[in-house]
Amino acid sequence: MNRAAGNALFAVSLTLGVMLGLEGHIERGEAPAGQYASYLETSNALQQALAKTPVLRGQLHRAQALHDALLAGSRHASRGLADVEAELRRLDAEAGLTELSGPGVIIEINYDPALPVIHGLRYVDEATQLQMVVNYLLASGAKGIAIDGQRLVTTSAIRSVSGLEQLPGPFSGIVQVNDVPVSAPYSIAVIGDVEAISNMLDVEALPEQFRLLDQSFRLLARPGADGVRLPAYSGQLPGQYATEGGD
Amino acid sequence: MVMLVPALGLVIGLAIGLLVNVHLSINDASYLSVAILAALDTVFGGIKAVLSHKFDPTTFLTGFFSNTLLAAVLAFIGSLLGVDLALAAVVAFGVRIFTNLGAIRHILLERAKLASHGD
Repeated sequence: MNRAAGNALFAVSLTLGVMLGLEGHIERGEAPAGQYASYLETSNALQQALAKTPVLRGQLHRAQALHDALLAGSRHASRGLADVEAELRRLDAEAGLTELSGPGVIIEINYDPALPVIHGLRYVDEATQLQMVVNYLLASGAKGIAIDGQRLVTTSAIRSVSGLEQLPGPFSGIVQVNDVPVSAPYSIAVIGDVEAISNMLDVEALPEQFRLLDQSFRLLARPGADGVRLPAYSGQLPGQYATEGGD
Repeated sequence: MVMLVPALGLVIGLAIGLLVNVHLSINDASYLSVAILAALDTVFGGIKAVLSHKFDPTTFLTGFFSNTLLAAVLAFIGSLLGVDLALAAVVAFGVRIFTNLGAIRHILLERAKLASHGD
């Protein structure tokens, strides 16, 4: 072996020895959390984390729902019952099943003998007239309405119950509210913003409309805190007659 | 004497490598490992060339350093690109190492056979 070959072998073996020696300095223990040996390991770890995230999020939601259910169940005897009763009272008030009092107006509609009978007037459907007034009242933000003591709820109906042949005169005369007969003079008790209700009725010119039909339309403002009292709805409710099936 | 030179170089190199005060993280392990594999490939190629009487010191030396450097660079580029090119280098050098080892074995067996026939 010549000198050049010897030098080459020495250089190569020396370099190889250095590299093998350096291998001993590499810390090959477990990589600490958050540190990865290479870009590939980091990328793989990131992809795995991204794949796991929706699964873990779903598990978290299910655990939260279970936690809420268990919490609600634990409150069932005391706090939960009070919450349910409070919600029931609120719903009863909203549905018109409880008495209601507050500021509002009283509207009185009656035949006015002082007004001249309109020639040719054959029939006036008072139920339609009352429904029209109720619609305007609801549009003006009325919180509660009662016609002749009959509280209006979502299932209430205002009907004329006689045929045209049985009419005694130009007015229908027979009206039912909540299936209870009412007749003139009609008294509509309304709880709500007095000013808004008055303005709405003025703008729609309801007094003038009724006057044209020989009827008086009077608006009495009751702005006091206990100015108007509405009774609770006492009629039938949907499903009230339903009973459990059995033998 | 022929075997003493590389052995001496290896021992000195190991001593330098072990005694030098450097800190290498696990991130550098793949580059160094591939470089060592390339160096081993060159060494086995050199042994084969010596046995075949085709050894050229310049070719051996340049092949050693270029292969080692290229393997490390390939591993580094692979880590940047997100492709495990170090694995390709490991496969390539592994095949070459076993090929050279097989050739060396054949040459030594031929020599042993010739020596036995000569007796």
